[in-house]
Amino acid sequence: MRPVKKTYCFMMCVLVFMGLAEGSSAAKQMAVIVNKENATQGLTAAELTKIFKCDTAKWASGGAITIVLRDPTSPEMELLLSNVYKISPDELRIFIAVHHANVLVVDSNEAMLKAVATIPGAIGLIDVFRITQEVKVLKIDGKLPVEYGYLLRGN
Amino acid sequence: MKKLFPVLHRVVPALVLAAASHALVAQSPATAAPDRMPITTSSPEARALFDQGIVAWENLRIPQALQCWQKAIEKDPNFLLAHLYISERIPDPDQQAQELKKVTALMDSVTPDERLMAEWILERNRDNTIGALAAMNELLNRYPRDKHLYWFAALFVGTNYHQWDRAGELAAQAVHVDPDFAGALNNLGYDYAFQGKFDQAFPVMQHYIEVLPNEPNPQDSYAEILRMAGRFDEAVDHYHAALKLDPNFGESLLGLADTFALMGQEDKARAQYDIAIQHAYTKAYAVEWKLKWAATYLREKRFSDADAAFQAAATMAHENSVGVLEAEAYRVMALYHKDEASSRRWMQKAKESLEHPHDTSRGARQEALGSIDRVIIYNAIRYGHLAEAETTLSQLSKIAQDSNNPNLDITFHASAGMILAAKQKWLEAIPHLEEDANDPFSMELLVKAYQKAGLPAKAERTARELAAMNAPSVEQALIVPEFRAARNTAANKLPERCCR
Repeated sequence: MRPVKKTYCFMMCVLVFMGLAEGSSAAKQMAVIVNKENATQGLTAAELTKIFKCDTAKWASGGAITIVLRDPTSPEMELLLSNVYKISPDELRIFIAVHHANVLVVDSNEAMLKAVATIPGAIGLIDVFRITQEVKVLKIDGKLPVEYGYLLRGN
Repeated sequence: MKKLFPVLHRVVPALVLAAASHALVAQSPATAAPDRMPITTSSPEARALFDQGIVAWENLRIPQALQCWQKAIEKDPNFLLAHLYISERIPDPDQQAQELKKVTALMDSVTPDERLMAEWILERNRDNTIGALAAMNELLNRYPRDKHLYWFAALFVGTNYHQWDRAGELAAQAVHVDPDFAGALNNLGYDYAFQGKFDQAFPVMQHYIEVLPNEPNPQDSYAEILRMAGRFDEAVDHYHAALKLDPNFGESLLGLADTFALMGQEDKARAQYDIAIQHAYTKAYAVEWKLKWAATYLREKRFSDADAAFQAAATMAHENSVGVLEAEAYRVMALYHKDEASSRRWMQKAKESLEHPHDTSRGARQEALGSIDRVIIYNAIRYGHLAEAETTLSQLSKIAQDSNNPNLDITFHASAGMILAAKQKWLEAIPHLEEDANDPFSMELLVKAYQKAGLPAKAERTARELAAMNAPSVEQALIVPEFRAARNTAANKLPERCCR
């Protein structure tokens, strides 16, 4: 028997009958996160692209931006590569080497959260289901990761 | 019983190591966190009852769990966590709201960590998913050895958001803390299976069976996962093993019937559904299982018999005052009927079923109406009435926006994707259809949309997933066998072309 949530149990039964519940993984939702002290609440997709491509080097407040990334071949980077950088993992590796002064590559979700929480000008990316209260989630084009139409949402 | 699990002792340490490597929060041994988060109550008896309730819940004994927490509140009416847990399990939305009101009123009487847990649940109910997740993960980081907390979080993330990879990590951490934690093993096995990671799911389920050798549920869960993986004969063996332990275990009586249906043994499936229906826990379950019985005729393409069977199920639903399932019977009929007039007639009957004074909650009724609208849109496209499809989509959009029900959102996106695909706007259709990426109708459209949009790798991946789908559902019956056959035909033709 599946560990089904009782509140939805009755409709879940119907959904199982309809075939909507079995293994239906929801879309991946990657949150853009910044340090809690960062005054920014949101960015447009164009602003976000400029930041991640190092075309914008400073926050509006004047602080330097540190981009925190995972390894370009990691699953966490897929949406950023396809929807923001629009380049291959190998090309991103070259980009990181060129911009090493502004880019930090971390090897785990915990390291991502720690880096963004401790570096004042940091901006990073994490699966929204792993966020903590130590970082701030930015809206992109007015949308949060849980909303349909958000830039870094998909399979 | 035959020796089924010889590799177990090698598998479990590996599982625990895997859990430790990716789910453990950095924790210095010198500053190890306590095993449980604080639990504030003035009554030791209430505390004991609260813990009994948690154990009952983890073993899927929901009525006993609720009873324990309610007794705990009788001992200590200001027991915040007991109110919070009741709010999570109580099926009645009004009672749930009352419990959450008490939680809010008691916030100042508990520790900051208990407040954080309350915040997690309250924010979710305020539709602030980001706030809820941030509070949840914050609390988990503080108590990496609280296996009950990790189990709760795994259930929360899996059942509310269908994020099976994250749910699996959380359940794995609970298993890391206690390798024999039966409830977490059950969660973890399903979390892996829902991601298609059957090689990881099987050893977990085998250990679940070892932990509770005299309970039917581990055998039942393992059987279901084997069935999902297409290993039908083994699934049947394990359903029989569950029924040997408890001949009246309804889930296994049903699971056996579902498996026969997927194996193409429809006579056997119908006979087994009849037995399961006799053992259904409630009238609603009996009707739901009757619908599955009716669906066996669809698998045989005996459409006249299917009509009679679904009407019998609708009558049973009506007599038992289960309006949502009466509507469901007619909705399915509208889906498989191939002439427009019949489809419209059954859609109308489906809507009328929801108007009767049945025991249908507003939420369940809304969800059923959403599903009906989806079929109206499907049929409107099928018969060339795009304007009707768009008008219905606008209505569906309003219903979805007015509700916090994620299933209605999925229904909306699946419908929007259908319309965009009908307009050949493939790139626009894809993100909508991806929101419903496990429904056979949406998956079949996604395969086409990916192909048309020049994304062959994604098309192939989705096609493989669709062909491997073994859900005992009407949608699977209507789409998957034909899809598999077409795929096999295409694969068989390939060498011929190569040789020319």
